[in-house]
Amino acid sequence: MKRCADCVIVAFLLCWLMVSGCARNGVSDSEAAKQLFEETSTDYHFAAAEAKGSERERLLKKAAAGYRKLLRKYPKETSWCAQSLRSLGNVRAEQGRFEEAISTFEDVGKRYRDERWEVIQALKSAGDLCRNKGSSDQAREFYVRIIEEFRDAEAPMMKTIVEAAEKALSVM
Amino acid sequence: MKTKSILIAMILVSTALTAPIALARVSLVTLPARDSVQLTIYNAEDITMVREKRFLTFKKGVNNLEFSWANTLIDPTSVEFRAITHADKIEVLDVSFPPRVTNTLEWHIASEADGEVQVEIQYFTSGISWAADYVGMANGDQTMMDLGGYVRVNNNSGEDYDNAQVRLVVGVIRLVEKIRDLAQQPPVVRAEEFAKRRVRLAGAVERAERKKDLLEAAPEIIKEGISEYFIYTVEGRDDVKTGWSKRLSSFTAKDVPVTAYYRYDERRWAQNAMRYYKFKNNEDSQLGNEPLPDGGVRIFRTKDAEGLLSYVGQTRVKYIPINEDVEMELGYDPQVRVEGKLMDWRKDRIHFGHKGNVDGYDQHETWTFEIQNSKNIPIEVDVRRHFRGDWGMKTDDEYEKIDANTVKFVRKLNPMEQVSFTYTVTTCTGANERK
Repeated sequence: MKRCADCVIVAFLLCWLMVSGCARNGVSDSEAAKQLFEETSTDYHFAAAEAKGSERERLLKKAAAGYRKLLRKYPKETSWCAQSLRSLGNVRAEQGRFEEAISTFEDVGKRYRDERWEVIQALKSAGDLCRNKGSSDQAREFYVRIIEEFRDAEAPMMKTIVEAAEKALSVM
Repeated sequence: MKTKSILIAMILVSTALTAPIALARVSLVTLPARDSVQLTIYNAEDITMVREKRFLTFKKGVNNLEFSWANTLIDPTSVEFRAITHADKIEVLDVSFPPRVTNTLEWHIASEADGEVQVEIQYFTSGISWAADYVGMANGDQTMMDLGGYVRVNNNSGEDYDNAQVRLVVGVIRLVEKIRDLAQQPPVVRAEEFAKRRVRLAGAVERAERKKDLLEAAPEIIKEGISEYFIYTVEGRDDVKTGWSKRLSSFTAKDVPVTAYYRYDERRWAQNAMRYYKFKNNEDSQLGNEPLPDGGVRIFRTKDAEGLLSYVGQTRVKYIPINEDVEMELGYDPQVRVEGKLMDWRKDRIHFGHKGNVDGYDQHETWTFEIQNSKNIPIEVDVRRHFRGDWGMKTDDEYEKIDANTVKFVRKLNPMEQVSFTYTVTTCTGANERK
């Protein structure tokens, strides 16, 4: 009987050590999402900018997969998700999938409204992409949204983007 | 953490100003290093304002400039670009986010100038903090000391700042109306509030700079409502690389006059005599150029002719305004002993109430204090005594009344000398109290 009780205590201690050990080695979702984002952007997205031909295509596919994985795996890490979704839009633009890129940029605002910095960048990227493709009406919509949604922003870079949107509208 | 230096790439466009920016053919011509960088660190909010200056070679037309904050703690919303030279000929036309990279922006800058232009890029980052400390080397008889000021900068921002000028915001700047209210706001409002805080900090720093330039004098402590702060500039420049904790030498002052003394107060330190050093932050003390930041102080004393040092003690000081006395409590010194003995005690003038109970009396206590200096240098000792109620004191020894309930006996002692003083205190209680 005493031996059985000893076994239970030893098993309990082993379980406790394993659990506490795991907790010490574990990383938070926020840190894991950050790590995945940085790996994806550095190893594939940045690397694709330097590569050519099929290697570039392969790296862009890997980058898109990495950003999608982050969105799937860490949906509550909204800051990293918004960055990933916008970066996915950039990858689609690089792949020449312009319609998909624009809808992805739009999704940033729809899904992560509170991530203001990501939203304004996505809107600007979408507007610039449309303008460069000759879709002036669609570009105008994005620029108008920037002005309406961020007119009162105090951050200097947001102000610069609003001014840039106003300038773009004035020559369209 | 992987670190990546901010990328500033200058890309020149050979097209006219009116050409569509994104369609223009571009060519990379230069990757200029920072000309200078200044860090203004505000610990209380984990905000550092970075101002970097670079010389860029512009060509007439549209010039593209890339800025990346990937893998750093830079707040990209705070980034500002301005031309210092040829300011009237340089205009930011557009800012875009190149899809080939992430966390990078591209300014499209129209230039009417052809040649070198000095520009400033300002932004805020987090992850940089400071802590000041001082080391004092006192001479043998503790009348002078050499004082060195140091600032330790911890950089975990993800960015290297080489050859940086470091400035510290010392004190408190009120950046938020009500912190409790801010915590209850939704994320959007909070983000806007953070932006406001940065704008306010930049404004406060600018006001301090303007005041200093205007007066052409030492920086002053700025008092605005509950804000009380000053900007302290660390002398010289140094590399502040990410992941490093670097101690920068801030100043050295030789032969600072210092007063060393001991204080004995049972109420505060029981039966221990505490050692104090006092100096003044003024020109006579080879200091006084500016207020000094708060920080830790360690004091050493030269023990012999060969310059052997002994550790005296350490403490922390609040920031020190110009012309202000600095009193440093350096801990208990077992070589200075103060001992009080109750030599006599009696009660008289006992007063009885109408039921025969005692309802008042006078109490007389005679105390003798012995002070022993076991050091090989002369010292000054300040003994504080506190009394309560209706009290009076008789003594043949010299003393000074500090307030209604406190007196002090100050004695100078030669090396290895012992002195004493005696007093009798009478306390009238109950019906005998006169006040």
